[in-house]
Amino acid sequence: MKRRCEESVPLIGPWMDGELPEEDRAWLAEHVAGCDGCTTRKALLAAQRDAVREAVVRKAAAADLSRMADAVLARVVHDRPPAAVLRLRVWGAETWRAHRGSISAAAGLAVAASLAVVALLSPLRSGPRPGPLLADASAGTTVEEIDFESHEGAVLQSGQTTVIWVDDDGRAVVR
Amino acid sequence: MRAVFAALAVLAAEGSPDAGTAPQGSRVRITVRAIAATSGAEQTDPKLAPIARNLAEFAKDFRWRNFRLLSEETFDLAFQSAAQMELPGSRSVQVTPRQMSPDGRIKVHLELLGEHPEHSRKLHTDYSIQRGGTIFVGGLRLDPAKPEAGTLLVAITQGMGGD
Repeated sequence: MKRRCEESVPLIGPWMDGELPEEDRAWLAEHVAGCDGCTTRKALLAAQRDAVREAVVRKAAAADLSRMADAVLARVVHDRPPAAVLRLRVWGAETWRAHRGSISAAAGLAVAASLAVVALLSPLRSGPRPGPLLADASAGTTVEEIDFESHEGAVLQSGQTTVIWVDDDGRAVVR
Repeated sequence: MRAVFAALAVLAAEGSPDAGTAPQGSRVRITVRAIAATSGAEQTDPKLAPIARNLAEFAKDFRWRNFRLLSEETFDLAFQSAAQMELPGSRSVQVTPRQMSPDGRIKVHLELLGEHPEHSRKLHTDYSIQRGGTIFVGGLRLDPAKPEAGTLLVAITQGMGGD
Protein backbone atom coordinates (compact mmCIF):
# COMPACT_ATOMS: atom_id res chain seq x y z
CA MET A 1 0.00 0.00 0.00
CA LYS A 2 1.37 3.36 -0.99
CA ARG A 3 1.80 6.09 1.55
CA ARG A 4 -1.00 8.10 -0.06
CA CYS A 5 -3.28 5.02 0.09
CA GLU A 6 -2.57 4.59 3.84
CA GLU A 7 -3.87 8.10 4.37
CA SER A 8 -6.83 7.57 2.03
CA VAL A 9 -8.33 4.29 3.31
CA PRO A 10 -9.67 5.64 6.65
CA LEU A 11 -11.26 8.58 4.81
CA ILE A 12 -13.15 6.68 2.11
CA GLY A 13 -16.04 5.74 4.42
CA PRO A 14 -16.64 9.29 5.74
CA TRP A 15 -16.30 10.57 2.16
CA MET A 16 -19.08 8.26 0.99
CA ASP A 17 -21.23 9.40 3.95
CA GLY A 18 -20.65 13.04 2.96
CA GLU A 19 -18.83 13.88 6.19
CA LEU A 20 -15.44 14.81 4.79
CA PRO A 21 -14.28 18.48 4.67
CA GLU A 22 -13.96 20.05 1.27
CA GLU A 23 -10.14 20.28 1.28
CA ASP A 24 -9.77 16.52 2.01
CA ARG A 25 -12.50 15.55 -0.41
CA ALA A 26 -10.66 17.21 -3.30
CA TRP A 27 -7.34 15.45 -2.90
CA LEU A 28 -9.01 12.11 -1.96
CA ALA A 29 -11.17 12.15 -5.12
CA GLU A 30 -8.12 12.96 -7.16
CA HIS A 31 -6.17 10.10 -5.54
CA VAL A 32 -8.96 7.51 -5.85
CA ALA A 33 -9.47 8.42 -9.52
CA GLY A 34 -5.83 7.59 -10.23
CA CYS A 35 -5.45 4.57 -7.88
CA ASP A 36 -6.89 1.16 -8.81
CA GLY A 37 -6.55 -0.20 -5.25
CA CYS A 38 -8.49 2.62 -3.65
CA THR A 39 -11.11 2.51 -6.42
CA THR A 40 -11.67 -1.16 -5.62
CA ARG A 41 -11.87 -0.42 -1.87
CA LYS A 42 -14.43 2.30 -2.47
CA ALA A 43 -16.51 -0.08 -4.60
CA LEU A 44 -16.38 -2.75 -1.86
CA LEU A 45 -17.55 -0.33 0.79
CA ALA A 46 -20.42 0.81 -1.44
CA ALA A 47 -21.46 -2.78 -2.04
CA GLN A 48 -21.42 -3.57 1.72
CA ARG A 49 -23.49 -0.49 2.48
CA ASP A 50 -26.08 -1.40 -0.13
CA ALA A 51 -26.24 -4.98 1.10
CA VAL A 52 -26.85 -3.92 4.73
CA ARG A 53 -29.53 -1.45 3.69
CA GLU A 54 -31.31 -4.05 1.57
CA ALA A 55 -31.23 -6.61 4.39
CA VAL A 56 -32.72 -4.17 6.93
CA VAL A 57 -35.50 -3.12 4.55
CA ARG A 58 -36.31 -6.70 3.77
CA LYS A 59 -36.49 -7.67 7.45
CA ALA A 60 -38.68 -4.68 8.31
CA ALA A 61 -41.06 -5.54 5.48
CA ALA A 62 -41.42 -9.07 6.79
CA ALA A 63 -42.16 -8.02 10.38
CA ASP A 64 -45.74 -8.38 11.66
CA LEU A 65 -46.61 -5.22 13.65
CA SER A 66 -50.32 -5.82 13.74
CA ARG A 67 -50.25 -7.08 17.36
CA MET A 68 -47.79 -4.57 18.68
CA ALA A 69 -50.43 -2.45 20.47
CA ASP A 70 -51.82 -5.50 22.24
CA ALA A 71 -48.32 -6.53 23.30
CA VAL A 72 -47.62 -3.08 24.77
CA LEU A 73 -50.92 -3.04 26.66
CA ALA A 74 -50.29 -6.54 28.00
CA ARG A 75 -46.89 -5.38 29.30
CA VAL A 76 -48.49 -2.40 31.06
CA VAL A 77 -51.08 -4.62 32.76
CA HIS A 78 -48.51 -7.09 34.01
CA ASP A 79 -45.99 -4.52 35.26
CA ARG A 80 -45.92 -3.94 39.00
CA PRO A 81 -47.71 -0.80 40.26
CA PRO A 82 -45.45 2.00 41.58
CA ALA A 83 -44.33 1.72 45.18
CA ALA A 84 -46.58 3.15 47.89
CA VAL A 85 -43.98 5.77 48.82
CA LEU A 86 -43.83 6.99 45.23
CA ARG A 87 -47.61 7.14 44.95
CA LEU A 88 -47.80 9.02 48.26
CA ARG A 89 -45.17 11.49 47.09
CA VAL A 90 -46.99 12.15 43.84
CA TRP A 91 -50.28 12.52 45.69
CA GLY A 92 -48.70 14.91 48.17
CA ALA A 93 -47.14 17.04 45.47
CA GLU A 94 -50.38 17.25 43.50
CA THR A 95 -52.46 18.01 46.58
CA TRP A 96 -50.02 20.72 47.72
CA ARG A 97 -50.02 22.31 44.28
CA ALA A 98 -53.81 22.43 44.21
CA HIS A 99 -54.49 23.53 47.82
CA ARG A 100 -51.32 25.23 49.05
CA GLY A 101 -53.20 28.31 50.34
CA SER A 102 -55.63 26.33 52.46
CA ILE A 103 -52.93 23.99 53.75
CA SER A 104 -50.69 26.90 54.79
CA ALA A 105 -53.50 28.61 56.67
CA ALA A 106 -54.48 25.40 58.45
CA ALA A 107 -50.86 24.70 59.43
CA GLY A 108 -50.44 28.22 60.82
CA LEU A 109 -53.57 27.86 62.94
CA ALA A 110 -52.41 24.47 64.19
CA VAL A 111 -49.02 25.85 65.27
CA ALA A 112 -50.64 28.80 67.04
CA ALA A 113 -53.05 26.49 68.84
CA SER A 114 -50.19 24.21 69.92
CA LEU A 115 -48.21 27.14 71.33
CA ALA A 116 -51.26 28.36 73.21
CA VAL A 117 -51.80 24.92 74.73
CA VAL A 118 -48.14 24.69 75.77
CA ALA A 119 -48.26 28.17 77.31
CA LEU A 120 -51.42 27.38 79.24
CA LEU A 121 -50.49 23.93 80.47
CA SER A 122 -46.76 24.27 81.20
CA PRO A 123 -45.97 24.68 84.93
CA LEU A 124 -44.65 27.99 86.18
CA ARG A 125 -40.91 28.07 86.57
CA SER A 126 -39.45 28.41 90.01
CA GLY A 127 -35.95 29.05 91.23
CA PRO A 128 -33.23 30.73 89.19
CA ARG A 129 -34.08 31.98 85.73
CA PRO A 130 -32.37 30.13 82.91
CA GLY A 131 -30.78 33.18 81.39
CA PRO A 132 -29.91 36.77 82.15
CA LEU A 133 -32.66 39.32 81.92
CA LEU A 134 -32.68 43.06 82.28
CA ALA A 135 -32.35 44.04 85.90
CA ASP A 136 -35.43 45.13 87.75
CA ALA A 137 -36.42 46.15 91.23
CA SER A 138 -37.65 42.68 92.17
CA ALA A 139 -34.06 41.69 92.94
CA GLY A 140 -33.61 44.54 95.39
CA THR A 141 -31.45 46.50 92.97
CA THR A 142 -32.62 49.14 90.54
CA VAL A 143 -30.28 50.57 87.94
CA GLU A 144 -31.75 54.02 87.55
CA GLU A 145 -29.33 55.46 85.04
CA ILE A 146 -26.38 54.04 83.14
CA ASP A 147 -24.02 55.25 80.45
CA PHE A 148 -21.52 52.88 78.84
CA GLU A 149 -19.70 55.77 77.17
CA SER A 150 -18.14 54.44 73.96
CA HIS A 151 -18.52 50.78 74.93
CA GLU A 152 -21.29 48.29 74.44
CA GLY A 153 -22.90 47.07 77.60
CA ALA A 154 -25.94 45.65 79.28
CA VAL A 155 -27.58 45.30 82.65
CA LEU A 156 -28.33 41.66 83.35
CA GLN A 157 -30.04 39.78 86.11
CA SER A 158 -28.54 36.51 87.34
CA GLY A 159 -30.98 35.24 89.93
CA GLN A 160 -31.09 37.93 92.61
CA THR A 161 -27.76 39.42 91.53
CA THR A 162 -27.58 42.37 89.18
CA VAL A 163 -24.66 42.35 86.77
CA ILE A 164 -23.56 45.43 84.84
CA TRP A 165 -21.63 44.15 81.85
CA VAL A 166 -19.17 46.27 79.90
CA ASP A 167 -18.20 44.70 76.61
CA ASP A 168 -14.45 45.17 76.69
CA ASP A 169 -13.59 42.83 73.83
CA GLY A 170 -16.84 42.28 71.96
CA ARG A 171 -16.94 38.50 72.36
CA ALA A 172 -20.01 36.54 73.41
CA VAL A 173 -19.75 35.67 77.08
CA VAL A 174 -23.20 34.62 78.16
CA ARG A 175 -23.81 30.88 78.08
CA MET B 1 -59.47 72.53 108.84
CA ARG B 2 -56.81 70.84 110.99
CA ALA B 3 -57.00 67.81 108.71
CA VAL B 4 -56.43 69.97 105.66
CA PHE B 5 -53.32 71.51 107.22
CA ALA B 6 -52.02 68.07 108.12
CA ALA B 7 -52.50 66.88 104.55
CA LEU B 8 -50.74 69.93 103.17
CA ALA B 9 -47.84 69.36 105.58
CA VAL B 10 -47.48 65.77 104.39
CA LEU B 11 -47.54 66.85 100.75
CA ALA B 12 -44.94 69.54 101.42
CA ALA B 13 -42.67 67.04 103.13
CA GLU B 14 -42.91 64.57 100.24
CA GLY B 15 -42.23 67.27 97.66
CA SER B 16 -39.26 68.85 99.40
CA PRO B 17 -35.81 68.42 97.78
CA ASP B 18 -34.44 66.78 100.93
CA ALA B 19 -37.01 64.02 100.91
CA GLY B 20 -35.34 60.63 101.07
CA THR B 21 -31.88 61.85 101.94
CA ALA B 22 -30.00 60.19 104.74
CA PRO B 23 -30.14 61.65 108.17
CA GLN B 24 -27.15 63.73 109.20
CA GLY B 25 -24.26 61.63 110.46
CA SER B 26 -25.26 58.41 108.66
CA ARG B 27 -22.46 56.55 107.03
CA VAL B 28 -22.34 53.82 104.42
CA ARG B 29 -19.95 50.93 104.41
CA ILE B 30 -19.02 49.89 100.88
CA THR B 31 -16.82 46.88 100.20
CA VAL B 32 -15.25 46.61 96.76
CA ARG B 33 -13.77 43.28 95.70
CA ALA B 34 -11.74 42.74 92.54
CA ILE B 35 -12.20 39.16 91.43
CA ALA B 36 -10.47 37.14 88.74
CA ALA B 37 -13.18 35.14 86.99
CA THR B 38 -11.73 32.43 84.80
CA SER B 39 -12.96 29.32 83.05
CA GLY B 40 -10.72 26.94 84.99
CA ALA B 41 -11.87 24.30 87.46
CA GLU B 42 -15.01 25.19 89.37
CA GLN B 43 -13.71 26.81 92.53
CA THR B 44 -14.47 29.85 94.66
CA ASP B 45 -11.87 31.51 96.82
CA PRO B 46 -12.83 31.02 100.51
CA LYS B 47 -12.21 34.74 101.02
CA LEU B 48 -15.20 35.35 98.78
CA ALA B 49 -17.56 33.53 101.13
CA PRO B 50 -19.60 36.69 101.93
CA ILE B 51 -20.67 36.91 98.28
CA ALA B 52 -20.59 33.20 97.42
CA ARG B 53 -24.33 33.15 96.75
CA ASN B 54 -24.01 36.00 94.23
CA LEU B 55 -21.09 34.26 92.51
CA ALA B 56 -23.06 31.04 92.28
CA GLU B 57 -25.89 32.89 90.56
CA PHE B 58 -23.41 34.58 88.24
CA ALA B 59 -21.87 31.21 87.33
CA LYS B 60 -25.24 29.91 86.21
CA ASP B 61 -25.47 32.45 83.42
CA PHE B 62 -21.86 33.10 82.53
CA ARG B 63 -19.13 30.74 81.44
CA TRP B 64 -16.70 31.43 84.27
CA ARG B 65 -16.59 29.03 87.20
CA ASN B 66 -13.31 29.86 88.93
CA PHE B 67 -13.33 32.93 91.20
CA ARG B 68 -10.25 34.27 92.97
CA LEU B 69 -10.06 37.38 95.11
CA LEU B 70 -7.43 39.79 93.81
CA SER B 71 -7.95 42.71 96.13
CA GLU B 72 -10.53 44.00 98.58
CA GLU B 73 -11.16 47.35 100.25
CA THR B 74 -13.87 48.49 102.60
CA PHE B 75 -14.77 52.15 102.80
CA ASP B 76 -16.72 53.84 105.55
CA LEU B 77 -18.22 56.76 103.71
CA ALA B 78 -20.45 59.69 104.47
CA PHE B 79 -23.12 60.33 101.89
CA GLN B 80 -21.82 62.32 98.91
CA SER B 81 -18.23 61.23 99.69
CA ALA B 82 -16.41 59.37 96.95
CA ALA B 83 -13.99 56.48 97.35
CA GLN B 84 -11.71 55.12 94.68
CA MET B 85 -10.04 51.74 94.44
CA GLU B 86 -7.34 50.72 92.03
CA LEU B 87 -8.06 47.63 89.97
CA PRO B 88 -5.62 45.33 88.16
CA GLY B 89 -4.48 46.61 84.79
CA SER B 90 -4.23 50.27 85.89
CA ARG B 91 -7.98 50.62 86.03
CA SER B 92 -10.05 51.93 88.89
CA VAL B 93 -13.56 52.12 90.25
CA GLN B 94 -15.08 55.06 92.07
CA VAL B 95 -18.18 54.81 94.27
CA THR B 96 -20.18 57.57 95.90
CA PRO B 97 -23.14 56.89 98.17
CA ARG B 98 -25.69 59.52 97.22
CA GLN B 99 -28.56 59.12 99.61
CA MET B 100 -30.83 56.70 101.34
CA SER B 101 -34.28 56.21 99.86
CA PRO B 102 -37.41 56.28 102.03
CA ASP B 103 -37.66 52.51 101.55
CA GLY B 104 -34.23 52.05 103.12
CA ARG B 105 -32.32 51.39 99.94
CA ILE B 106 -29.01 53.08 99.30
CA LYS B 107 -28.53 55.07 96.13
CA VAL B 108 -24.98 54.83 94.79
CA HIS B 109 -23.12 56.51 91.95
CA LEU B 110 -20.43 54.33 90.34
CA GLU B 111 -17.81 55.12 87.76
CA LEU B 112 -15.46 52.67 86.08
CA LEU B 113 -12.28 54.19 84.73
CA GLY B 114 -10.06 52.70 82.04
CA GLU B 115 -6.34 52.17 81.79
CA HIS B 116 -3.73 54.84 82.36
CA PRO B 117 -2.71 57.23 80.99
CA GLU B 118 -6.05 58.08 79.36
CA HIS B 119 -8.01 56.82 82.36
CA SER B 120 -11.10 57.27 80.23
CA ARG B 121 -14.45 56.62 81.80
CA LYS B 122 -15.85 53.29 80.66
CA LEU B 123 -19.12 53.49 82.49
CA HIS B 124 -21.03 55.54 85.00
CA THR B 125 -24.27 54.59 86.63
CA ASP B 126 -26.68 55.39 89.45
CA TYR B 127 -28.33 52.49 91.16
CA SER B 128 -30.36 51.80 94.26
CA ILE B 129 -29.64 48.72 96.27
CA GLN B 130 -30.92 47.20 99.45
CA ARG B 131 -28.70 47.18 102.53
CA GLY B 132 -26.27 44.30 102.34
CA GLY B 133 -26.86 43.91 98.62
CA THR B 134 -24.11 43.23 96.10
CA ILE B 135 -23.89 44.32 92.51
CA PHE B 136 -21.37 43.06 89.97
CA VAL B 137 -19.59 45.02 87.27
CA GLY B 138 -17.92 42.70 84.78
CA GLY B 139 -16.68 42.40 81.26
CA LEU B 140 -13.26 44.06 81.52
CA ARG B 141 -10.40 41.85 80.52
CA LEU B 142 -8.48 40.54 83.49
CA ASP B 143 -5.27 41.34 81.65
CA PRO B 144 -5.79 43.89 78.86
CA ALA B 145 -2.94 42.25 76.92
CA LYS B 146 -4.32 38.70 77.24
CA PRO B 147 -7.93 38.39 76.11
CA GLU B 148 -8.09 34.72 77.12
CA ALA B 149 -6.91 35.28 80.69
CA GLY B 150 -10.45 35.73 81.98
CA THR B 151 -12.58 38.61 83.08
CA LEU B 152 -12.29 41.09 85.89
CA LEU B 153 -15.37 41.01 88.07
CA VAL B 154 -15.88 43.90 90.48
CA ALA B 155 -18.27 43.21 93.34
CA ILE B 156 -19.64 46.19 95.26
CA THR B 157 -21.41 45.42 98.51
CA GLN B 158 -23.32 48.13 100.32
CA GLY B 159 -24.16 48.26 104.01
CA MET B 160 -24.89 50.83 106.65
CA GLY B 161 -22.37 51.74 109.27
CA GLY B 162 -24.13 49.65 111.86
CA ASP B 163 -24.61 46.59 109.65
